[in-house]
Amino acid sequence: MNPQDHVPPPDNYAAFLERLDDAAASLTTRLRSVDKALTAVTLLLEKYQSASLKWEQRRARVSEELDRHAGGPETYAALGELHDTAVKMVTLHHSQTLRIAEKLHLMQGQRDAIQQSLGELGASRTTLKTSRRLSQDRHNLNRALYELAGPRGSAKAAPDPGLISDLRRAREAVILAEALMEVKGPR
Amino acid sequence: MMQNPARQPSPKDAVTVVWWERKPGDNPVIRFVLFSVLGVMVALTMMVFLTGLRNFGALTLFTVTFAGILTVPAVAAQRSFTRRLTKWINDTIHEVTGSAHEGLSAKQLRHLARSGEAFPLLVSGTPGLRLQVQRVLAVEDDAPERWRAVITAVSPRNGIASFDRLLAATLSGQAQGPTND
Repeated sequence: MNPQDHVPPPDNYAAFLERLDDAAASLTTRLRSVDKALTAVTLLLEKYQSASLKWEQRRARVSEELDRHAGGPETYAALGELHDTAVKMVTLHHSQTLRIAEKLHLMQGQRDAIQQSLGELGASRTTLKTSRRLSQDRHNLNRALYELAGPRGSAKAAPDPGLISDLRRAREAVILAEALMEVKGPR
Repeated sequence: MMQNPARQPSPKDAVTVVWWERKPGDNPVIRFVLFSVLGVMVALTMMVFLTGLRNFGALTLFTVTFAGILTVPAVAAQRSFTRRLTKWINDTIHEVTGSAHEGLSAKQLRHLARSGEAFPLLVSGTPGLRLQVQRVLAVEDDAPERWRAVITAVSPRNGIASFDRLLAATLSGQAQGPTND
C-alpha cells in the first residue's frame, strides 16, 4: 500500500487554480469595461438631467407669463401653445432621464456583483494554496515515514477533510464567476 | 501598445476607453520599403560573387521576396493588435448599449480613425453618447503617434434656443400670431 494513493494528485489543485485564475482574469476585464461604461452613462445622465432642469425652468417661466398675461387672445394662444410644448418636453426628458438612471442602476448592481465575485475568487485562491501546501507537507511526511519504517510502519493517511470542502468552495466560486460572465443579453 | 487610460487624463465630458501608441516603424508599408532597400543592397553584394544573379529579373525577384518575408511578422503583429483593440473597445460598447450585437469591425474602427467621425451609441434607446477615435497631439515632433478611443456625451438636441426665440418673439411682438415651428 503506497501512501501516495491517499493523497490527491497535485494536478487537482493546479487545474483548479488555473480555472480560478482564468475566471478572475476574465472578470477583471469585464469589470474594466463595466467601469468605463458606467462613467460614460453617468455623463449621459448628467446631460439629460441638466436638459430636464432647463425645460422645467422654461415651463415655469411660460406659466408665469400666462398668469400675468394682459395682451390679446392671439398672444395668449401662442403662449399656451408654448406652454404645452414645454410640458411635453419636460415629460419626455424626465422619462428619458429615468430610463438612463435605471440602466445606470443595473450596471452598478452588475459591477458590485463582479467585485464581490472577484473577492470570493481571491479568497478561494488563498485557501486552496494553503491547503495545497498542507497536503504536500502531509504527503512528504508520510513518504519520510514510509521510507524510514518500510511498508508496515506507514500510518493510514486519512483523506484530509479540509481539502474536500476547500475544493467544493472553490468550485462554487468558479461556477458563480463563470455564470456571471455569461450574463449577456438584456440587462 | 494598448494601455489603460489611467496615465492619460480624459478630456471633459469624455471617457477614454483605451489609448495606444503607434510608431511609424510599425507600419508594414514603411517596413516593406526599408527592407526593399536592404534587399537591393544584399542583392548587389551577392552579384559581386555570383555572376548568375547579374540581371534585372533576379534582382527584382530577390528584393521583393526578401522584403516580403521580412514584412510578414509586422503585418501579423498589426492584425492581432487591431483585433485586440477592437475587442477591447467592443467590450465597452456592449456594456454601454446592453446588446452584444452592436459593435465595430476592425474596418469600421480604421475608418473612424481616418475620418474622425463619431459612432453613435444608444443607451436603452436613448441617444447622446458617441464613440470617437482621436489622435492625441504630441508635443515633440518625433514622438510616436498617440491615439485614443473616447466616448463623449453630447447634450440631447432639445431646441431650447428655438424655444427661447419663439417665446421672446411672442412676448415682444404682441400682435404677431402663433409661430409654428
